[in-house]
Amino acid sequence: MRPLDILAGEELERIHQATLDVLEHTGFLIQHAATRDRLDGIGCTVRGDRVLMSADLVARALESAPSEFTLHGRKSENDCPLVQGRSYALSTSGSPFVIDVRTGERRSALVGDVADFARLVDALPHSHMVSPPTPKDVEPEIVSPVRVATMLRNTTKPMRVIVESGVEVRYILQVAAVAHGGLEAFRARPQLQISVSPLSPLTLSEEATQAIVETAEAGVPLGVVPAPMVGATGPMSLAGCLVQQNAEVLGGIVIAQTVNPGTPVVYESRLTIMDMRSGQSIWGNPEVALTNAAAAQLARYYGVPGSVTAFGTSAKGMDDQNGFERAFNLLAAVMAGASILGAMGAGDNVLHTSVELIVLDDELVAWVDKLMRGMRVDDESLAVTAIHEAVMGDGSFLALRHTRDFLRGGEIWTPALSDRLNYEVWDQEGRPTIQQRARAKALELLANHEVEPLPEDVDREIDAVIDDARAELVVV
Amino acid sequence: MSIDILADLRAAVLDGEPAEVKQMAQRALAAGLAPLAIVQEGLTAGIREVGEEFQKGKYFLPDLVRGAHSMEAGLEVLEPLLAGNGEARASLGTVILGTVHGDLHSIGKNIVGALLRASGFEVEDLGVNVPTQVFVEKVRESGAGFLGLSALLTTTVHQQEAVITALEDGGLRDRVRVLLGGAPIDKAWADRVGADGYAPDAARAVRVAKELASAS
Repeated sequence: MRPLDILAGEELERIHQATLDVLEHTGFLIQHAATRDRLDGIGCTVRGDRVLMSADLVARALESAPSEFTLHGRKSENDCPLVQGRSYALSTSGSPFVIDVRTGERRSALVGDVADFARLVDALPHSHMVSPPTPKDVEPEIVSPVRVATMLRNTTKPMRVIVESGVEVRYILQVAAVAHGGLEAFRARPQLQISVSPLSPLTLSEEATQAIVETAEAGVPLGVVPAPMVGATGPMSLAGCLVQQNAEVLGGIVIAQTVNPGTPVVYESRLTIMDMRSGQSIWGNPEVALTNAAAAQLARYYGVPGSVTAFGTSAKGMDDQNGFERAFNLLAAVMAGASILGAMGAGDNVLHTSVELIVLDDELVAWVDKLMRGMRVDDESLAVTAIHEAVMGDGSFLALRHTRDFLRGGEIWTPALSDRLNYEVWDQEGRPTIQQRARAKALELLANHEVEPLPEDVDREIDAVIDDARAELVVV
Repeated sequence: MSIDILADLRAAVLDGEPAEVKQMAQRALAAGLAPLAIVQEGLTAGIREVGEEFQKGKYFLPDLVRGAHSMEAGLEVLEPLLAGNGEARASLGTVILGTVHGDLHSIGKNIVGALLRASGFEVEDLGVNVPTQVFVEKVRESGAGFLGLSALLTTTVHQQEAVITALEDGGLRDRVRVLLGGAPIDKAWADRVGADGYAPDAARAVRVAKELASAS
């Protein structure tokens, strides 16, 4: 199916022009002197900590950013080529809490959960990329290298991690290099995207700027992931907040392309609204679906892969709100042509992740995947002959070769979890719910799915890198 | 005439127009009204109405914050005169507020600060990325009764614990009530690190501070 353009051509152009206006006249607050100097040297105007970026520079940066690249699996069968027309599901990043699958209660995320989510995504057929929660049982200074090490050990699929500083990037790259047999080998088949979040509005801390610089210098795929809140850290108007977020993403891309032209970048939208009663950031609302679709369109317009939170919900429990918010969000993101569908498994405005939700989301992805494949229209599928045969025969299509061939050819999607029982059978079986089936499947996969372990010496070397990181970074 | 000025002042606070409030406060003074009366019957009464509208569900956070800024604009004019007359506005206590080291997020802290001020607390906002030792020194010097620590990043919430530990090490823990806030924070965390209070949102943060203030 062709992607849906939620913005009319003229609207898109106005958002783009307003973005250039912001970058050129308000600029980006960059708290990193070396980067300011570098940008100064290529024609930016630097006023104090603010860097004003010209339209020409933005255009050149977008030109040098590759329009397509691949996030690799440990095995090539798990590769995710980020190309137009393909969407990949990514588990939630950075949630501080998880819903414990055994107790059903919320608790702090732990390193064991990072491993569980990675293994679960590895096992599920429609889950493509892993992002970790933020575990509390590890020193915060080394949480990112530990998360990457844990994911590398527990999945063969591509992964993404959000970092806050350049020094984290250095250790993450060391861990990844060890797992892939050297930095060159890793760079040739990167299994990791590193994301950095500018602080809205239009601010990059010294640490975040260093993280962008280090990632770009290594030539590793970089995500620029601002998260402005409508009315709080971004304008109250949706178009205005999109403009600001767009400027934040493009500013990050300019830095990366200036450091290392050709650095693969992902345009990541995490725009939310602030609930004007509680101050909470809200992820399950129609405005987020709308701005996600617009951001995906902007990414297509700029020719870089786009990533949005496709499974956002404000619901805490497993209820109807949870289902419809994530389904509508996903539908909007997929139809708008987002390359990466973030926040699989997330609940409560991305504050928690649950294994049951990851399993359910795998089913949702399969559902929309079938939708987006559209329908085959050709001589055979138009079925003129089959209709004639049936009408002239016993009036049934069941026995036709045409029926069997199309059924085997995947004309109809078969769900893994959804209920299609008749009422009596459903009643006799104790009225099972999809949540129960999701939970059972999650527990079954966690008990039985094995990920091919890394070689023992690699495992030991990764531990040694983590020990080095701990020795250097953890303040005792 | 003077009653009209106070009614207009209340209305301007309710509308959330700081520049107007400032002008009206000056007009009220020029009309010969007592500074304390202008504060109590104009500003404080106005901000109380703002709070009531919020409780009724008619007002939202931007209305609260603009109301609070309006009141502050009026106080800028009036407060120096109160001090000179030996009169003082009733204060529920002083809150030192800041976002912990390594964290640059300010919006939640700023909302809480505005609401606390509007509710009668004095607020000393230390800003963002505040080193632990700065919090400790401020508690030592100021004698403030409350310390509010904000953290948004899941990797910086540990700094809240570090501040509490540093207060203990400095023998200052008993002097101050420590309140925690931020999206990754829950009550279990606040209990674990030995905070005195926690609130899931700004309006509730004010309620918690008031409860602690009346208990002390």
